[in-house]
Amino acid sequence: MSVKYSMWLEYQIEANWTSPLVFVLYNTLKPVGGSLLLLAMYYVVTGG
Amino acid sequence: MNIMLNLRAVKGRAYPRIIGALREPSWVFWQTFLPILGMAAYVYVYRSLDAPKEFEGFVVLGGVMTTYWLNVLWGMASQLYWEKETANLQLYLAAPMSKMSILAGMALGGMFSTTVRGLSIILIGVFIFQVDFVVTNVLLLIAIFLVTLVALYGMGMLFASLFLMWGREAWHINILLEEPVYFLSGYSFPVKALGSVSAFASMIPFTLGLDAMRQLTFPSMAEWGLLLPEVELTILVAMGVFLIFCARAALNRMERLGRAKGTLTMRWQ
Repeated sequence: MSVKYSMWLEYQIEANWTSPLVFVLYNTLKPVGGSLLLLAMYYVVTGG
Repeated sequence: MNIMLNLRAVKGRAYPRIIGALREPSWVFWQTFLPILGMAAYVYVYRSLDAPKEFEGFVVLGGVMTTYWLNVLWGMASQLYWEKETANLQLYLAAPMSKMSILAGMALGGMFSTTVRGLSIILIGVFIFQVDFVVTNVLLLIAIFLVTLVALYGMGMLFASLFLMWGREAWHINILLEEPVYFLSGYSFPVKALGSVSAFASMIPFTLGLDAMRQLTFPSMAEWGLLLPEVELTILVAMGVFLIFCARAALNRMERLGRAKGTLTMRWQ
């Protein structure tokens, strides 16, 4: 039980009490944005 | 309106940011050095692709403007929320000057400390990465840079009130507005490459300002320009006026809500 509540609490702290959907969205868009940046750089230099 | 009172408020709010930026030399070093590491990674990506040297210059210029964007996000947009958490916001709202003076002071102080970092990035770009800036129109370049800053910090002033109303989400929104915005604004590549998406990306002042400055400092790559620099300047002026007007409206609304509900300015509410 303690593990369960401590996991829940840690998740809430990490997510700053935001909704799970919004938390997943924010955490997905950041690395996707970084990857797209590299893809765009490759595209402008090589022309695709 | 008491102009002297408001000017004193601007000075009073800018002062701690300017002094704070210089008080601890180790902070100045790390705040300059760490963004340069990220920028250097993109420069080496272009080198590995045998890209023309101008693309490295694009990254350096993007690195400079990114420091302003980060300052807008963390030093302007989130600031009122943090002031609320440290119980300063109530003092701001109770003080007799215009609240726009507080935001203007925050912006001016933030611009100063960020400019120190921006200049360091340019020097690193010139002396370490051997980037050649060929400025074709100095006055237009300065005008575009200043107008971009006005529009960017106007957006920061608007976000300051909105983030305060959105509360805890502000932290995540800031994170969301980093890498995805770097991509949309063409931080390390010409935004024209995004095709029709670049029209949407132009809603961020950073995008048009960066594109115009790249055209004026790397004329050989003008083919990658999204619009003529003069057109981009006109759009940025309109954007700056609109954003500051919206910031004022949002600030008034936030102030009204704070007085009506009595919770907006209170910690943990």
